[in-house]
Amino acid sequence: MTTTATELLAAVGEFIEREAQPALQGRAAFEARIARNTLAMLRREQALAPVLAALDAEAAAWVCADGGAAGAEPVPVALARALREQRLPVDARTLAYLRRRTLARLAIDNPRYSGFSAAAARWPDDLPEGSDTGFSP
Amino acid sequence: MPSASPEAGLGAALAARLGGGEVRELRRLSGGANMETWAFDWAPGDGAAVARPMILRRLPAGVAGGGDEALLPLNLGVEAAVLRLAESGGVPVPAVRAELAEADGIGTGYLMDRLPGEALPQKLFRDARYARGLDGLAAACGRALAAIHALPTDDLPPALPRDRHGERLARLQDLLEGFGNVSPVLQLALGWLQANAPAPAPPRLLHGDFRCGNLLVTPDGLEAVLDWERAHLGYPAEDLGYLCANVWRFGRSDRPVGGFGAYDDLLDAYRAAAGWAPTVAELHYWEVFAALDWGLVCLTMLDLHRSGCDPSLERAAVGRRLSEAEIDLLLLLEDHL
Repeated sequence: MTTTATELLAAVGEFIEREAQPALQGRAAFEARIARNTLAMLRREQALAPVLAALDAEAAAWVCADGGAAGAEPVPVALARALREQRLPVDARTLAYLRRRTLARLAIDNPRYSGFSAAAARWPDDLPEGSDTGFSP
Repeated sequence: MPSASPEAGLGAALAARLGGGEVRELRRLSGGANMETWAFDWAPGDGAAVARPMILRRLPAGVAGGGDEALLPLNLGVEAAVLRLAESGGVPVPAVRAELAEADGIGTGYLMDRLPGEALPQKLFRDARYARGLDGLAAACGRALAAIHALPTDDLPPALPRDRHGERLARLQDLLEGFGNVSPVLQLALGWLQANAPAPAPPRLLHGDFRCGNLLVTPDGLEAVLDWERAHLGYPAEDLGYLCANVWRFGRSDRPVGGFGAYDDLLDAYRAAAGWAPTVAELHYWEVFAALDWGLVCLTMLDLHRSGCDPSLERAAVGRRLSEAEIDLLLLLEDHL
């Protein structure tokens, strides 16, 4: 078995932390910290991408006119257009999809954001399964 | 590509205006890809007086604003004019000492005093020396905003953005389209802002980016209001609601005013100075607006990255902060749809 993507991401992160960061200063050190955070984000995305895909697949049936056929525009884009043209109502189904998708997205992008813990406390049932977020209710 | 240091031209420009002297400790602070902010000390030639801490804001000669214009809509001449007006109206701001002229040969921009204090919220919130300054900061912000909103608008530069609210919302819709309709949450919020728009009121000068990071704070309190590049004409409640947006509380959500104060601290001080104040419900509208604005700033930065205007990792990564704006919008709108 060859090196997994997870192992490579972890190894690059280690390299930045142990080798690159101590050797850098100023702007470059700042961007090295962003690089490390970005790798952590990609590791979370590896774990949670299936959650996003499942949410979109389920919503495609009512968001996309063609039921989300291959090659169609992404479900969030189709929904944004439909909301703009008022073709779909802002109802419980729409809001539930937006809550779950935004929570999953934020669990990838920045689970330390203050709005994440607030939303997780308000909507615990909408949290993605398997999000290792460091959040404890 | 980094531009040349402005050192030589800067010395000549200062000598022509303030008398002979020397530029010391010149260093670049920050700025966008093209817009530059430099700190330096001006040591008068007679050697008697103490070196004067100063700031240079400039766009180097021969460089178009380029990508920065999407984020920094004011040109530096307008920014300097707004700062001078604010100073004349008693708003705490650094004094502008000189505008650059073409003959100076170091681009467009201006020179101002460099004042003491800290602007970074991470430092202000952690360092106990600032505790007292933070205690009174919400009230000080109320007074400063009242002073800004009382400034006469007749003589403002014509280039200052002055779209009516409906036109602004229409422009935000165009931006969402331009960025590919990627966010149904931003679209939902924009529809809500359109349906719940406030009644028209006489436009006032707004700072437009009034929050920690742009406020210089000392242990004694508010020293100066910085970073006026998003100034525009609009409704006063916008500036107050913007300061209360969750993203600008920097992790301290339980202190709604900027991460450091309570609504009443801000509103009572504003009312005492201005004779009126918006309600918390009116602030809510502008907190929604500020969250949408932050989401669009994230998308704008991502666009700058993709277009090659500013290929930095930082710009690419900020694109992922869109979901912060989205969660704040869902939390703000839940009981209002």
